[in-house]
Amino acid sequence: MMSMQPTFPGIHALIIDDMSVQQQTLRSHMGMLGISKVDMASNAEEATRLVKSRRYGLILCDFNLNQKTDGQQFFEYLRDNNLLPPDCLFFMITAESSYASVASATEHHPDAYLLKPTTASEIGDRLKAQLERRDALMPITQRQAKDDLLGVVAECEKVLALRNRWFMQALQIKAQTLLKLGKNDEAKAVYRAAIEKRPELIWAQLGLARAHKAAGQYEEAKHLAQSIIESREGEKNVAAYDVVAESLEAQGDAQAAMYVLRDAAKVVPSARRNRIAGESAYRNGDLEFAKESLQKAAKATKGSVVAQGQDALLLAQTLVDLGESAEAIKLLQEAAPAFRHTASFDNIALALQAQAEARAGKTENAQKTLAKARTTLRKGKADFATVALAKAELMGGNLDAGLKLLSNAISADHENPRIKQMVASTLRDTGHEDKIEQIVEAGTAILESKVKDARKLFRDSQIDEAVNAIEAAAREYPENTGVLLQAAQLNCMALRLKKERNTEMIERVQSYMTRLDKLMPGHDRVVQMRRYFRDTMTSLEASPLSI
Amino acid sequence: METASFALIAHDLKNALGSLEGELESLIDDPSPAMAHSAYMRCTELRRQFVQFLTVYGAANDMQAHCEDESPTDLLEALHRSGQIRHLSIPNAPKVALQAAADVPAYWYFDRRLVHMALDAAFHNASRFARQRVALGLREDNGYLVFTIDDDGPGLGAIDPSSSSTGLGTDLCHSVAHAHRSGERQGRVQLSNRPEGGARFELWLP
Repeated sequence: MMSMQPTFPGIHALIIDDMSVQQQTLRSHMGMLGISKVDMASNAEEATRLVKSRRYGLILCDFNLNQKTDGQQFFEYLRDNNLLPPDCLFFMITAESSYASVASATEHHPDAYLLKPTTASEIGDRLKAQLERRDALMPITQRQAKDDLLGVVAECEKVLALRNRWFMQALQIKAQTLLKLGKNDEAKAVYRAAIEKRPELIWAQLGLARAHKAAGQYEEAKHLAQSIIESREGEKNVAAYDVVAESLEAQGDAQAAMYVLRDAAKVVPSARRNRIAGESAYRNGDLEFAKESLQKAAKATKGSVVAQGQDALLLAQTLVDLGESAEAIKLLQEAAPAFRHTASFDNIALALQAQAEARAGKTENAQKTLAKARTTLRKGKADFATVALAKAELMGGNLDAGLKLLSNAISADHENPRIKQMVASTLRDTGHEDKIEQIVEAGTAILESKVKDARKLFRDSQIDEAVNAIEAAAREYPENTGVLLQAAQLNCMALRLKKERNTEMIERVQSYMTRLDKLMPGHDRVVQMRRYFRDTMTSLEASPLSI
Repeated sequence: METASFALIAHDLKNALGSLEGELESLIDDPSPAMAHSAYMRCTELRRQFVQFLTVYGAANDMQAHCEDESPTDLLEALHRSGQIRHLSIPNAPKVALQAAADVPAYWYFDRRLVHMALDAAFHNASRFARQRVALGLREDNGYLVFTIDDDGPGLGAIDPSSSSTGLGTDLCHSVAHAHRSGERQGRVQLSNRPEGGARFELWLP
C-alpha cells in the first residue's frame, strides 16, 4: 500500500508535541515515509536544545505546545535567532479551529500548515512539494545567503523565463530584492503586474505599499496599506498596520502611529504585537495602556524561551512612572533569574530599582543602588539603559549627571525621533519640563553643526578636509545614524569626484553600512544609501585602483 | 443551515457509527484482520465525513479560502493515488484514470486543503455511481482552472445506490467553489450528463 508513496530516507526529523500519543502517531507516519532518524521533544525548551545541537531536515511542530509557548511563537523565535538552517523545513500542525486565525495573522509562514488529523500521505505530499521548491530555487537562495542582491535578481529572472511551477515564488523574491536594492520603481512595476493578474494577492498589495513608503510617498503608502486592512483577506495583516504606522512616524505623527499599532495588537493579540503597542504607548506617555500591553506581553511569554527581558524592564519603568514602586521592585526581582545571562538586564534593572526606591522615599537605598548602577555605564548612548540611569540620577537629585546623560543620549543619535521622545518624557516626569528644549535642541545642534561644517567644506571643494571632519564625528559618535549616513555619503561623493577606487575609503563606507544595517535594519534611508554606494562603485569600475 | 438538514446528517452519521459498533462487536468473537480492516475503513470514512461537516458548518462566518500558488497537477496526482489505493483495497471500488490536458497551467492560486477535500468528496460521490471507472481531468478554460471527475454510471438524477450519503459532500463542493474569488470572478460547481453516458462533475476556480 505504501509503495505508492514517495519515501525520504536520509532526512533527520524532529517532532515537537506535548501529547505522547500524537508523538507516536507522527513517528509512525515518518516511518511510512522512510524517515527513521526521528527525535522527539515535548516542549519548546527541549526542542531548542535539540535544534541547537543537531541539524534537522524537517521539524513537525504542534501549534498547541503548552500554556507557555505556541508553535508560531516558537517558529518565529527560531527564525529570529537564526536557529533554523536554511534547508530545514518547518511544518506546523494545527487544529481546524485555530488554523484560520494563525494562517491569516502571521507574516512569516512556516513551510506548510497541516491540519489535524494529518496523514502520512499528506505529510509526504507536502514534503515532496517543498523539496522540489527548495531545489528549484536553490540558485536564488544561495545568492541570498551571500547577500548578493543583484545575483538574486539575475537568478530570479532565469526561473521566471522557465514560466514553470515556481514562477510566482520567483516573482515575489525578485520584487522583495528590488525593494532591498532601493529600486522602488522597478519593484512597483513587478507588484503592479502581479496585481493585474490577481487583484487579491496580499503580498503584491503589501509590496506596492512598501515601495511607496520607501520612495517617501507616505500618503499613497498609507492608502494602499489601509485598503489591505479593510479587505476580507487582509483584515488581520499586521504587516499592513506596520506600513501605516511607519509612514505616520516618518511624517512626524508618533501619536497617530501609536493608535495604529494599538489596533494591530487588538486584531492580533500576540506577545510581539503587545510589546510593540506597549513600547509605543510608553513613548507617547500613555502609561496605563503601556502597563496593560506590556503585562500581556510578559504574561504570554513568562517562563518561556521566547520571553524577552525588555518586556519586564519597560514594564517596571512604567510602574515606577505610575507611582507603583513596590510592584516595580517585585517585578524586577521575579524577572531577574530568567535574564541573568542577558546583556545589560542587570544594569537597567539597577537603574530602575534606584528610581523606584527614590520614588518610595527610601533615599539612602536609592543612592546606594544608583552608585552600583552608575559603575556599569561608561558613556551615554541612545538607548533605554542610558535614559533609565539618567532618570535615576534626576530622581536622586543629581541634576548635572542626569542632564549630561540625556544630552549624551540625544547626541549619540541626534536624528532618532524615538530617543527624543524618551528624553522629553523623562524630563517631564522628573519636573524638568522647562529643560526639554534646551537638552534636546542643544544635543541636536552640536551634531547638526558638525555635519553642516563637513558639508560646507565639501562644497568649498576641500574634499579631504570634509571627509576628515565627518570621520572625526563618526569616531566620536560611532552609533549616530545621521552621522554615519553622512559619512557614507561624503565618502561616496569624494570617491566619485576623485574618480579612483580608494580601497581605504571603500572599506570605510562598507563598515558604516554594516553598522547602519545593525542600528536601523531594513530602514528606507539605509537602503537608499546602499543604492548610492552601489551606483558609486559601478561608476568607478573603469577607474584606477589606489590605496 | 436548516435544523432539518442537520438532523438528517446527524441521523446518517449515527447510523454509520452503529455499523462501526456492530463490526467492532463481532471483532470480539472473531478477531480477524479482514474484519478489523473493514472496521478501520468505516472509521476512516466516518472521520472524513466529520471533517467535511466541520469544514462546511463549523466556521462561525463564511468559509474562507487561504490561497497559495499550488501545482494543480500535483493535487490531481495525489487524488489519483488515493483512488488507486481504494480500488486495490476495497471490493467493487472503480478503476481510476487520469486524463489531464496537455497545456495545464504549472501553477494556480487556490486553497489546496479545501479543494482537495471538495474533490475527494466529489470523487467518493462518483465512485458510488460508477459502474467500473472514474476519470480525473484538469484543464484551463476561459481563465478558470477546471477540475473534472467523470463516472460511467446512470447519469444525473439517479437514485443514490448507497445508504451512507448525506448530501454533505455536495454542500462542501459548493461552499469551497464559492470561497474562491479573484476580483469579480467566483468559483462554481457544474454538473452535466456526458454524451457517452455517465455524469460529469466540474469544479471551476478563478
